[in-house]
Amino acid sequence: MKFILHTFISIFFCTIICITARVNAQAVYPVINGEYRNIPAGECMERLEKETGYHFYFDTTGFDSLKVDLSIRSAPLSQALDMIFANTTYKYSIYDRQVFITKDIAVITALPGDFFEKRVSRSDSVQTRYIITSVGEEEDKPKDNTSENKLYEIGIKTSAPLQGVAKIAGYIKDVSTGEPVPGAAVFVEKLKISVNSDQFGYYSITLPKGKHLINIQSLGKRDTWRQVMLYGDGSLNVDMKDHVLSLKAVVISAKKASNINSLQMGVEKVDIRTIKQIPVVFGEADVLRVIQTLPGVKTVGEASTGFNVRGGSADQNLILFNDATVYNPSHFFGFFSAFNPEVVSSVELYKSSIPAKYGGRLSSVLDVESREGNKKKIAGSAGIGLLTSRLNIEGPLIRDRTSFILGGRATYANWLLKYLPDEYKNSKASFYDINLLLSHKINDKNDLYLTAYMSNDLFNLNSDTVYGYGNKNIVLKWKHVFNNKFQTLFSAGYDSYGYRIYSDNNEVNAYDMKFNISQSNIKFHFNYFVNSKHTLDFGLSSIYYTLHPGSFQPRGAKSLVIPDIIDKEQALESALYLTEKYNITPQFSAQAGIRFSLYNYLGPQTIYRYAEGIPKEENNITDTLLYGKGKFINTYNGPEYRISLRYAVTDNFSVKAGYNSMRQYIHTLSNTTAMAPTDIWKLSDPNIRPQYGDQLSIGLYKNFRSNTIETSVETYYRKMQDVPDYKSGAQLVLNHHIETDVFGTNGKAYGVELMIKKLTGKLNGWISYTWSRTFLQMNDSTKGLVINRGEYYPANYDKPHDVTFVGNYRFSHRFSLSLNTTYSTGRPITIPIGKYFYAGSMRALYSDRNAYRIPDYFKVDLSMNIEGNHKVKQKTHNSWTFGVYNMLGRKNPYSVYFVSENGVINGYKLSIFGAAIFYANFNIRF
Amino acid sequence: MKDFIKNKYIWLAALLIITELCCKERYNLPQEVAANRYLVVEGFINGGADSTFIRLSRTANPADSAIIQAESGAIVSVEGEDGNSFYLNETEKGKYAAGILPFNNNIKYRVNITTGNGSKYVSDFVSIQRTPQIDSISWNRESNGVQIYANTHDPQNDTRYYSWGFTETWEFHSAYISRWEYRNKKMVLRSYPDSLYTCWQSYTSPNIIIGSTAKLSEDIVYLQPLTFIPQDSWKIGSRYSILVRQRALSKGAYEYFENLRKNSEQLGSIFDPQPSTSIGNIRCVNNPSEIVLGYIYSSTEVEKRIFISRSEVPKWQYVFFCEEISVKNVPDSLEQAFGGGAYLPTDDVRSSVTGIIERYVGSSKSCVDCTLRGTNKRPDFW
Repeated sequence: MKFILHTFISIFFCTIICITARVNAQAVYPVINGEYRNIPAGECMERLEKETGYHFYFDTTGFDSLKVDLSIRSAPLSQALDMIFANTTYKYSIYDRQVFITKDIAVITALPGDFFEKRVSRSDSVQTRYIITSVGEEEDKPKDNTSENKLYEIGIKTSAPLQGVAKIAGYIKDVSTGEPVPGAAVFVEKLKISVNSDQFGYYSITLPKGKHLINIQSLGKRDTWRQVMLYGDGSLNVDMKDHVLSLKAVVISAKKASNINSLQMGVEKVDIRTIKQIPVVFGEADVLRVIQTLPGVKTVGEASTGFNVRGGSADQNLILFNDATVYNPSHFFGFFSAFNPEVVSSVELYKSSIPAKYGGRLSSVLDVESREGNKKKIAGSAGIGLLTSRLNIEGPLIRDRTSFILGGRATYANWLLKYLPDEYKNSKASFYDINLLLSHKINDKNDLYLTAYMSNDLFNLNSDTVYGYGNKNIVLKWKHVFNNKFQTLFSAGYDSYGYRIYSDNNEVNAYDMKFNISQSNIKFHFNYFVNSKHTLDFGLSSIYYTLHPGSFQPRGAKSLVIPDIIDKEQALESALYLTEKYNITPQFSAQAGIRFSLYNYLGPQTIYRYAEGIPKEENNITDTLLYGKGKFINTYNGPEYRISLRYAVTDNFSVKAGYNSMRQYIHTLSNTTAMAPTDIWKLSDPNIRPQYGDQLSIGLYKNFRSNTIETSVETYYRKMQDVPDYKSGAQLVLNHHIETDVFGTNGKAYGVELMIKKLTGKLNGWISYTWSRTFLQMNDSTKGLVINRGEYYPANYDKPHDVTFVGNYRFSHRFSLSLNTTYSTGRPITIPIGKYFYAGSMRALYSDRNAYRIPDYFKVDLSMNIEGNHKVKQKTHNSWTFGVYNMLGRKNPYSVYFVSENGVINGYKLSIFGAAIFYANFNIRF
Repeated sequence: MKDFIKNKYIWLAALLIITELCCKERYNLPQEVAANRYLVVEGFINGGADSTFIRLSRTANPADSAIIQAESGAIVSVEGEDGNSFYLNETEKGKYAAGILPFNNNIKYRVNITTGNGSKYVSDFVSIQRTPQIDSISWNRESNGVQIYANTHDPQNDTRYYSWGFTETWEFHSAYISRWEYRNKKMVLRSYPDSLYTCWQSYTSPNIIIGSTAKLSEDIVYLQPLTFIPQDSWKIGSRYSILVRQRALSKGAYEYFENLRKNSEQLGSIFDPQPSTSIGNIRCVNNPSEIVLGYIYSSTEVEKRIFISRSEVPKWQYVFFCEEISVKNVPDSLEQAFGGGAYLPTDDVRSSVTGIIERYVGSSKSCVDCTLRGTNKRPDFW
């Protein structure tokens, strides 16, 4: 059925030349009955073909840009076709049982009267035909001419036969603001060639020369396409429109096939529009909370933005904000994430196919990308919520070339703390964060981007002790395009995180404690599109860490505190990587990456040596080594492999497999279950080995109903080595020889993740189910006391069953309802299995570690989003969000614990949110 | 525009109904049972002029009601590095004691135990820590109560780790003095009216209170919190006393208690550590993998007592609410009011003219008889 042009031409001429004409003006056509609602013209023709038994001939290029929305009742074929092609440039003609559909000029099925007198050579005819098609495309008709039905000619036009491939590259931008659209899928469905735009909206695709229909799709944007006639390399910039504000009854049902066609697996991308729809506690749109609803991602509880990906601990996630490493992504004891939803454009979580350009963490990469400022006009938004207020201003500094966004959030949360349990009643908390984003287009080949971020938290938990922490990040990126095939991205940045604890109530003991980690990093990333089959990514990066593990100093003149400062640590982590993407056939493609990482622990430093074969303890120190400034103390290195394969069985079904290995040289030391703001980081050194992990995963992806419903099954098995764990009663803060309290454990994790996702239509959202297990093991008595007799025991975040439903139903363009439901198995805890009397009270004798579970978790949240009117020309657009968090008011346990009170052991169940919480948010855009 | 946002916000605030956000509920101990009943050794080798007590018990199942599963019939001794052993006698079930022992301060000692089933246990050798005197016990009137502190220092900068225990004792009174007694259907004058009016109660803290000066340049403990008496508590209703006992600890003992405290008293926050059983410095000789609970250390103990009178504490408003009844001096009425024993007579009401007792007043037993809430035996230090 899908004939290419040549077939069409030959049939056309055969018809004309070989067959005797038979004028068929009064022919009786079959009668058509049916509903043809919002389907592409091609599909409509297929159906007509089935119904009538006629053959339809047409050029598929651009044909599907025509949509059919008709109800046909007892009309003969000719009348049906009249209806379908009314007000279009298409013409049709029917000859025998064949229908020819052409643009602008109908095929004449009868021979002209003077045919046998006038000789027409074949080559002349081709020439003529050629002109016919191009005339129709190029004709400048402002009324109907959108960029979608225009034919773009790329390269130098030639009439010579087109051979080989050519490359198209360009930027994808938002039409109204000029902001780039990152992560947009650019693909030619027929050829199963697909690429994604990078974070600057830049894409590059290699196609065989000739005519193509290029589809461009991105979350939150209206799907679009471009018809191109590719003669040679060239550029094509694409503007995309937002889809929610469009009030025209355009139904978006085109192919969301990128999950099938892309090579990546275990990647979840969520755009900010989806994030904002999901109900969250206090109505503060929260990037990390949404990540926690995805399959394979777990959290220990509500008061923690730390998350666990496929059985990894919370410090095994690399959290990037425009390539800047954010060490503590949370505010307010972990109730909020540190990312301002107003400046975020999308978040992407890599769970298994981690690109070789990323490294340094074992479990996942969370890539938070910001928007770029409006390049056309000054605009802004403001929001008022229960706990925070936001203000953002953006706009051009130089129109169409330089733009900025300045965003800030601040809190007034103290009132909320009065509702916390008694032991926190007199607490105080405040935080703020500031984002500054600049982008500047030097010329077509060079762009500069600057991201600056700062956050700060200050709180005390019903005591005289004040805690404060904050992130500071700055990163400058320079993008240079050598040519369509080769481009580079250079970035340099500085990231820092630190916390501080002080108390001055008791003047003799008044102290000031500080911890700080900072890193300076540079990255060179190159992208080389060799040809349509091969793409190379390569680069190198280097990070220089400076870590102040802790200082403890007197505060005030009367304090007797002895200053105690632990030697600062420094290290250099470098990596070199290369990825090759190879499209072996349109169905089968592979990507192989290797990353070689090299870690040097640097002086000045004091290193203790311990006796071999016995646990590292203070009295086993055999030697103390002093290293001078800049000396290489020790080096760890090794390759990391990143391999993924994809086989597309059909257009909407593919199988993928992947293997990756990772190395991690920097660790969080924390013996609390949740990620606490006072956790410290530690660099690998001769006594603390780097963590190593690898993962094997297989996935099946199938799309239904014209790719509007995506389903996937992914399964994985991973192993981890040298994951730090702590001796009972470990002293982690201000420990001069922390290796005596830490030992390496091994872990294994496996699971199956199922997901059904619908991202278009009135009802959209996803359902995910995860079955997964995570186990750790400590069986080496030369490192310390073995746990649970050296058997595998479940990790704190081992929650075997996890079901999440996230849904949004759009009643109208102004009103939508969102529902978020989560069920999961309770997390493991250690419980008393006996009691004994000691020091005046009953004390608990604890079971094996994590041998028991807290009750299961179940929560339903609901929110309503009300948009103001959609008139384009008004000063402000506003919207409301109302919601209820934990609608059922279920007292979901956060923890179960046992304390000795007045001589007896009492058990308690602590819930963070024990009731339904109502909230409202007001947002305004100007 | 600004006003608009403001107005809407007020409306919004009115819409909000926030109930309690967070909650803590009782949770029953799961009925899981340990495979064994492990030996628990508690006590310390008293290096001062006082007796040494070692208590042996066994762990119990969570559901067991008996408080202490005493371990009787063991042979317990304190053994020095010099080979000298001092045996302890079982004075009551599971409690082993020896009088003042002639320890040599320059050597270390350990505890040897042989239980009735033949298992042998031994602690690590520990040296005798000398405890410095308590400098003072101070207190501070705070807005919602009285906080009591300990202060001490070691001029040798040598002690560094401390533990405290305390016993509170307080005097309190009934609401009314009972001058009369209803005995054998007759009113008679009470011979010791004060025996029902003045009583004492005491409380020994079961909590572990430890402190360290290891991070300070001088070995000074300043304002170490011991206990807090909440506003208008009956403890300072009349007169209050606290006896504070202080012991020096070794670093190991301090860490053991710190760990025990973290695992049994300080849980329940958002950022809890993983709880675990604290393992001390005692091991089973026959079976090294057997769990033995407890930590043996050696120290001396010093004490200090202070008194706080109600008059010293500004605005202490402890009130004991009681109501009086008034009964006609008629045998039937008196029998009805005081015959059951629920009410006790306190005083008489005489006619101003004749001086004859017209009525008796009285109050409920709990308002009159302080022995229901304490003991009327005056402590010897009072």
